[in-house]
Amino acid sequence: MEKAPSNAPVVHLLPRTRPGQVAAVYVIEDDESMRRALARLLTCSNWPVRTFESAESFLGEMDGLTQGCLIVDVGLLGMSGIDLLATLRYAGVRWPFIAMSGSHNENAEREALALGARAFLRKPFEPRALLYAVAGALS
Amino acid sequence: MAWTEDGAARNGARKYLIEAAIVFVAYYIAGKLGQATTEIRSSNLGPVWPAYGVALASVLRYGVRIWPALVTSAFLVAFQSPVPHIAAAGQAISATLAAMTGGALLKWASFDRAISRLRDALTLIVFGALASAMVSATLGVAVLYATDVQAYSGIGPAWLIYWLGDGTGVLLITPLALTAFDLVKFRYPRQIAEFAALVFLLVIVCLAIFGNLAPFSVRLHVLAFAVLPFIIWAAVQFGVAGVGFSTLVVATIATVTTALGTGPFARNTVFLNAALLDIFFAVLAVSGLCLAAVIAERERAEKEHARLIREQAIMEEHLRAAAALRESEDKAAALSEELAHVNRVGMLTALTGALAHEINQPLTAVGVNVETALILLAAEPLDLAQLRDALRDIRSDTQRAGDVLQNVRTLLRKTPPRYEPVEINSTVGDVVKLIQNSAVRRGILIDVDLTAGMRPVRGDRTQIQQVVLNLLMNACDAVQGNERALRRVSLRTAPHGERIAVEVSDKGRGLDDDDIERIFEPFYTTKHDGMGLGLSICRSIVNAHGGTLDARRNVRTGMIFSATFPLWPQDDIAGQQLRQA
Repeated sequence: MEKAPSNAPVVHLLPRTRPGQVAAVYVIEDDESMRRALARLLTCSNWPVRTFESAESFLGEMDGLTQGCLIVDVGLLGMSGIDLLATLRYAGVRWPFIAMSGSHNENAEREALALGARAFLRKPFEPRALLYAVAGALS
Repeated sequence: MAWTEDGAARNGARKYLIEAAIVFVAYYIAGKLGQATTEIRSSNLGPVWPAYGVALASVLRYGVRIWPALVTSAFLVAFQSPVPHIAAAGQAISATLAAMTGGALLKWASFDRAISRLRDALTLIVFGALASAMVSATLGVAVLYATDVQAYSGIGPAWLIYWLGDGTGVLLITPLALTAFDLVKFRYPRQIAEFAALVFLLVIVCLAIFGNLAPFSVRLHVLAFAVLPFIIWAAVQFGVAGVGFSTLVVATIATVTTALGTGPFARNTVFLNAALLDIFFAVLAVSGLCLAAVIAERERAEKEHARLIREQAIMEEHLRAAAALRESEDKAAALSEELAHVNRVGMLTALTGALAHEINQPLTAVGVNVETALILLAAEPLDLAQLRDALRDIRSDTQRAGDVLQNVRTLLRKTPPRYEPVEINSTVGDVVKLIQNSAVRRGILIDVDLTAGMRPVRGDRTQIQQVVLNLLMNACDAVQGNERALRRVSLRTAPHGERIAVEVSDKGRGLDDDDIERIFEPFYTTKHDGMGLGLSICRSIVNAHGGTLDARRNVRTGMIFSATFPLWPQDDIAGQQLRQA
C-alpha cells in the first residue's frame, strides 16, 4: 500500500470513480459512534454509504442492494463478521470486503484474510488506510 | 420460688440457733471462770469478769439480735450465785444492755472486727473497754444496791471494781474472741513451733513471777512487767490474736496465783489486789493490742502497696497486649485491603482485552472524525454543519474513552474504604459498562433491570463495584459453556426492607448443596483456574458494610447471588442531596 503525504488533503490523492457509476460502501458495525464516524468520512470522500448495525440486518436488506464494498467489524454482536463473510462466500457473493477488529485477534485476522479480505484493519487504524483500501476494492 | 425461701429461712434459723448456743455456752463458761476467782461476784467482786468480754464480742460478731442468749446465760450465771433472783435478773439485763451499747458505740465508730488498724484497737479500748464497761458497772452496781446486795465496803469501790473487772474482761477476751481464727490459720510448722515456744516460756515466766517457783524471793509489783517482752513478741509475730492469747495466759496465771495468795499482787487488801491486777492486765493488753494493730496496719499498707505495684504491672501488661492486638488488627485490615485490591487488579487484568476494545472504539472513531474534519476543511464550500457534527462526536467519544479509564482507575484505587451515600444504580451501571464488551465478545447477554428512585445505600463505591464485578464475571463464566441463546446473565437491583439487594443470576449449571455451603470459604473454588478468593473477599466486603451476601439456586438451572447493602439513613443531609442531584 502506498503512503500518502501526511499533511496533504487525502481526497485529491485518491482514485475517484466517475459520477453516476459510483459503487456503494456498506458499513456493518455495531458501535453507533463508530458507525456514524465511518459514514461521515466515506460520505465526505464522495462514496455513497449505507450503514447496518448487525450482520443480520445487512443480510435482510441485501437483496435490494447494488454491488459494493463491505466494511465489516469481525466482532459483531449476534452473527459475527467472520460468520457473515463466510455466509456470503458460501452463497457465492463475491463483493469485495474490508475487515476491522476492535481487539487483537489473530484467528479472526487469519480467517478474514483466508476468506479474501482486501484489508484487515486493527482499531485504532489510520483513516486514510481505510480510504485507500476502499478505493482499491472499488477500482 | 417458695421452697428456696423456706429453705433459706430454715437455714437462717438454724444458723441463729447455733450462734445463740455458742454465745450461751461461752458466756456461761466465762461467767463461771469469773466467779471462780472470787466467791460471789455480787458481794466480793473478782478482779476480772471475762463474761463481759464474751458478751461484747458476741454482739460485735453476731449483732444485737443475739441478746436473748446473753440475757438467759447471764441470768443463769447470776442465778447460781447467792444473790436474790431479782438482782440476778437485773444484772443479766444490765450486762446485756451494756454490751449492746458497746456494740452500738463501736459500730458508730466504724470499728472493724479484724482489728488490723490502730484506730480499731483504740476504739475497742475507749468505747468497748472503758465506756461500755462504765455502763455495765453503773447499771450493775445500781441493781445490786437497789436489791440491797452489799459489795465491798461501799458504792465507790464496788463501782470501780465492777468497771475494772468488766473493762479488763473486754481487753482480755474480746480481741481474742474476734481474731481467734487467725491462730488456727498458721500455715507453717515453724510458726506453730514458735507459738508453742512463746506460750511455754510465758507460762514459765508467769509461774516464776506469780507462783512460788521463783528462785528468788523478792516480790515486787514491777517484776510483773517481765512478761512484757513476751507480749511484744506475740504482737510482732502473731498479731492481735497472739497478744490476746498471751495476755489471757498471763491473766489466768496471775489471777489464780493471786487468789492462792502468791505473787506480787497478793500482798495487799483484796480490793487493792484486784484493782492492781486489773490495771496490770489493762496495761499489757492495751500496749500489746496497739502494737499489734500498728504492725498489722503497716503490713496491710505494704501489702496494698505491693498489690498496687502488681496491678500496675498487670495494667501495663494489658495495655501492651492491647496495643499489640490493635497493631495486629491494623495489619490484618491492611492485609485484607491489600487482598481486595489484588482481587480488583486481577479482575481488571482478566478484562484487559475487553477494556482495550472499549477504549479502541471511541479512539478509532475520534481518528476517523478528525480525518473527516480535515477533508471537510479542504473542501469548497465549507460544510459547517458536517464539521460541527464531527467535532461533537469527537467530544462525546473522548468523554466515553475517559469514562472507561475513570472506571478502571476507580477500581485500581487503593484507599481504605470510605462509607458514603452511594447511588446503587449508577454504581452497578458503571460495572456493566466495564464488563459489557467482554461479555458481548463471549456472546453473553447481560440483562439489566434496575429499580428506579431508590434511596442511596451506605457504602464504599469501589468496593460495591468490586462485589458486583466479581458476581457478574462469575456469572459470565458460568454461562460460557451454554449454547448461544442461553448465554444470559441478569443483574437486578431492588429494595429489600431497610436494604437494597443487588442480584446477579445466571443460567449456568449451578452448584450442588455442598458447593453452596462452602462457596464463600477462602480457597474453595469450583473453577479449574480459580483461586477461590473472589467470593470470600466479596462476603467480607459486604459484611463490613453491614450487608449480606448469599447464594441460592435459580429456577430450573443456574444460580442467584444476592448482595444486600444497608440504606443510608434517611434523615442524613448528604444522602438527601445525592438523591436530589
